[in-house]
Amino acid sequence: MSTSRHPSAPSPEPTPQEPRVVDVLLKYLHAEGVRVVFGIPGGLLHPFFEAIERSKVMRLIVPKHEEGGAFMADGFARVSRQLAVCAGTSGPGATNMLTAVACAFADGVPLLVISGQVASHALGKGAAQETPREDIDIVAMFDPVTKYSAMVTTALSLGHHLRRALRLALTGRPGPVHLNVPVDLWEKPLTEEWFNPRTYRPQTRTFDRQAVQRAAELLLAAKYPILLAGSGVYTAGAEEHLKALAELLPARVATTPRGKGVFPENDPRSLGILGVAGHRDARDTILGPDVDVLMTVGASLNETTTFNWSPQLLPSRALIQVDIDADRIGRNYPVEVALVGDAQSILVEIVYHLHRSIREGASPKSAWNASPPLVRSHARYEDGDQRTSEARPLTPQRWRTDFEEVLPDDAIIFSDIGGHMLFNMHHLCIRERQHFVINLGFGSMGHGTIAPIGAALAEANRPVFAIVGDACFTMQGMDLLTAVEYDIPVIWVVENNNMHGITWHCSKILGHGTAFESIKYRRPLEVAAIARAMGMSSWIVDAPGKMQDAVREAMRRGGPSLIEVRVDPDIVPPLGERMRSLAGFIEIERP
Amino acid sequence: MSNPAPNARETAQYNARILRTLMNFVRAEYGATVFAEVAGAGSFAPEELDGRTLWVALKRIEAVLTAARARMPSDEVFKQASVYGLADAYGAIRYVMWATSPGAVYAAAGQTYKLVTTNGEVKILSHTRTSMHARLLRPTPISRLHCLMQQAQTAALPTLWDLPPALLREEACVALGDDACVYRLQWYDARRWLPPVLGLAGGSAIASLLAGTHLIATAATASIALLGLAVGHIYELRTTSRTNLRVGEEINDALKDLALEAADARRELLELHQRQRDWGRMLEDETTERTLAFQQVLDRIGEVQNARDSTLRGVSHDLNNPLTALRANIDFLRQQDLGPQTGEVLGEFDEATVQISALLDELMKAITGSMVVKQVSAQRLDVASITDRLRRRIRALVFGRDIRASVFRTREAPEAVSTDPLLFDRVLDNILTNAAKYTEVGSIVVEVDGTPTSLIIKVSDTGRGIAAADLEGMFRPGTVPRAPRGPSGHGVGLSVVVQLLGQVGGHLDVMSKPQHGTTFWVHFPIEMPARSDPPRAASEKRPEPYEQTLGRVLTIRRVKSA
Repeated sequence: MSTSRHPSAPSPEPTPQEPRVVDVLLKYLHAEGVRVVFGIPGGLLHPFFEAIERSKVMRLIVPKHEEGGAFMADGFARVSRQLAVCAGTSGPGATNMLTAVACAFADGVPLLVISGQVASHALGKGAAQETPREDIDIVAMFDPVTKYSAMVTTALSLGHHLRRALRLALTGRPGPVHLNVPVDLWEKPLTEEWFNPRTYRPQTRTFDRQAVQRAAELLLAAKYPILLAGSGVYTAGAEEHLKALAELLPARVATTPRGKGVFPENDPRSLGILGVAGHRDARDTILGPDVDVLMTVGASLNETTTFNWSPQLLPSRALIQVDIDADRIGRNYPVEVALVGDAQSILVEIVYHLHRSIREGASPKSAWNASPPLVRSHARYEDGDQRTSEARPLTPQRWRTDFEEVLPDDAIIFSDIGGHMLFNMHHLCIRERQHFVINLGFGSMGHGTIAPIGAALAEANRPVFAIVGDACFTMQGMDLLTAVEYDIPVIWVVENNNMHGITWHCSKILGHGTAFESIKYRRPLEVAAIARAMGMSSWIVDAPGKMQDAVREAMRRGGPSLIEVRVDPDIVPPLGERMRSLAGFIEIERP
Repeated sequence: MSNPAPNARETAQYNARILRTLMNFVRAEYGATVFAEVAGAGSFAPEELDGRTLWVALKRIEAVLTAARARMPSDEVFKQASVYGLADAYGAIRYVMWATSPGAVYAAAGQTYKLVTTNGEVKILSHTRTSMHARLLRPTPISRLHCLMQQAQTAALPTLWDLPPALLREEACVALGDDACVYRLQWYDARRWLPPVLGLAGGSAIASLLAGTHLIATAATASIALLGLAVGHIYELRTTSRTNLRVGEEINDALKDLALEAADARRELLELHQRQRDWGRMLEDETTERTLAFQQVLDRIGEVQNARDSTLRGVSHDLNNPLTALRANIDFLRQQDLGPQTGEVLGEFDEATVQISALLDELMKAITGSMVVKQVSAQRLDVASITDRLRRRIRALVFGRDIRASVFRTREAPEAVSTDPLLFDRVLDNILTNAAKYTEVGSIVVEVDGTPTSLIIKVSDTGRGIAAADLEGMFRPGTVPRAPRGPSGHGVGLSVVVQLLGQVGGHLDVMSKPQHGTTFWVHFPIEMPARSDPPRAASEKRPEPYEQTLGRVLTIRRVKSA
């Protein structure tokens, strides 16, 4: 254990003679690579924000709402795969962050959430905005949506709580953690042993060698092996390793809805998405009779992927499941080989094991190369003809075809939640090196609108797009002002059908033709005009073939900008399987 | 980016206020649920039909009328419903109307029709104090129900004065195929004569009672005086009434002018708004187009400049890939056993590729051979892109052969490396080509790894391997063993690889075992070190002896004994 009374790690900046609690916290954050903090300053968290503002190496981004700040931190952490920090003062400042933190928890995103608290001597005495254990208990409120939620009760206990929080946030399945700090503690002197991150945070790259060997043998002998990749593949940075395995066997690859894009969808082996808004290739192949070995990687096999846990998903020979979280293995299906651990380490090991077998004369038995190749044209999609439609009003499918034409190879694309999400999932082809992000775990509207701001800060060299619906825009759109103020170059594409599209279409199906008319807007929403008023460049796209110029121009200008796409509201999103899933168990006819 | 939206006034022709009285009746008679259903038929929210101004398309008005009529037993009820609570509908303005007369209000209504519809106009053909002949033009035909409502509301106007409704005679109707609706209206305000008649009757009765009494003379005298008083008072009343009437008419005219001005201003605002949007979009389109054109010109100029500088280097370098693919394809065809004649042709092809390969070698030497001693220029290379390139390269090299190849990065690989791109490609091309060349069957694994200060590319193959004794000799200039098959080397040889790596502060590790395979670890520093040579005259510069470079760059790893 490398600890020292005289900290040897680089300090983020010169500290006073006697380090304070806030200095120690900043030093740990700096050592963990944190350079941006998102939050709205308030009296009960004043010393913390003051220290951030004075810092020469940390940047404070002040959003318009604490939920927006937490979403931004989430976006930052998702694309950088690093810890992100958000903070809100005591009371509503803290509770405003709850939804966003729940989002991060559901999708395994590492966040450190810091909330303010009244002075420790005043706890429970009825101070303004106090949230003590015995009253409005903020620690308990964060408890079910974090991996760790605690109040720091003394200056000396900060190090213990912080290291524990960081360890839990960044090891195993990542997730948010919460620390609540009374305002009088921040400036108290604190001299304690310094722990380098590698000394309190273990790297979990271990795996069961025998299980890897068994998995490799099954894959080597499989005639129709399938890889089903979830979002854990991205968290582990294992996209290339998945591809290497798919090429080596060869195997066909599907992704879960949340894992969309971790395997390039234009690849000849890609089956697309299995589950909600998914693709015919994935459904027919994986639920079909031929698959003998199915290996899932970082996929929890939840309702949205499995058509309400269809038994047809089980392969004829073996199900291999790779997950960092042992609790997610074998939860819904019996697993032949369980591989608990980091997806990248396990996939590398499997690839090496297969190479060793090949060098020893073995040969993969996969017969996929002899099967008919998968269709890569518009015909692979439901309503594929709409992708080339010249109709006006514009169809949601057509503008996405136009959009794909100009989408840069290294683009990061966020989707929000709603009808546009289903079109994004089904009709947007994510290519190699592009990255698609969606918060399907908790499914909070507004995340895909605001989180891209954090992502653009994390990946300054990559173009960031947010494809959102008009309702998401109205819920969280004021935080676009934050992007304007800090000149953060996100390009928002707002699909405007002047209503809550998914709810309207679902209600029409569930109500046998009678829809909720109340969720249509009373007057047309002028999204582009609002964006202009906010100080952004904006364009309206309402015809086929117009999207390309708008995107090119938005990218050329460089700052935050918005493209309003006015679409035909009558086009039904690809929600058939979701509807059937809502209705109950799904039986898919075997081909 | 967009075309102009459809002109709003073309579709929104009617003010939903015209439905207020009818919908009040529906709510009072059938309840709020039916009210909401009828409103919903025209896609109206219930509160939108509370009398507020809301311009909507004719079809929505018609839909409401149809839905309302469907719930009523007869057209008569529908007509009554259309004028339900008419006085309330006019609100305070009806007191102003009281100061005028039905005739004046009919005339004003004809003028202010634009307040409720832009569909046509009203032409008054003739009118008297108690009658009117009017022609209602409707360019967009309306339904019969709509006409019935219009008739009921028109006829009911005199009821505002507590008079009976006007008698309306319909001469034509657009709903019946005519050009316009033509109405004749007649009204009679008989009840206005009632107070004077009652007064006359009362006076006569009193006179008859007094007849024959002694009071008659006094009464007659008083009556004449009172008559004079009454005449004077009537004159005064008449003057006041005429003044009131004039004031009423003036107020009416002013209101009418205001209403017309408001309607015109609204229309003008709509047009200006539309024009502003059109101009905005046109400007955006124009700006985009010109910017793109300008950008294209700039790009073109840049391209021409770059092309002049890089054509020679680029062509020679890029020819490697097609040549490799060509050779792989020739090998593939050879395996297909296509007969002796084809074999000969393939042999010729093969020879041709060997010649091209030799020419390329010469070209490469001519272009870049001197690079070893020339200044190299560092560029930031993205490691993800490098990995993609390596994947494509190795795939081309092993195409059609029984070799499985895998390429991936580890977490430790840096995001980017700063080095000379051409030099980097030459080193990796050589290592990959060798791996493919000396591997007949089996596998090749390329792992892009790193340390905090370097990028490490590990290339591991299952080729025939090199004996320990020969290994160091492989790095001597001029030593290129002949490959059994596969792409022949047009690369620069391992000795040049060592020299190139020496120039950028790189390092090469190698481990090999005969019949098992070879592994290379190519190290590139993340930042290319600055040249540390002391400044000397060009003539004094001496390249580092090769042996010294070799000792500095190459490490031969020993194979662990089994």
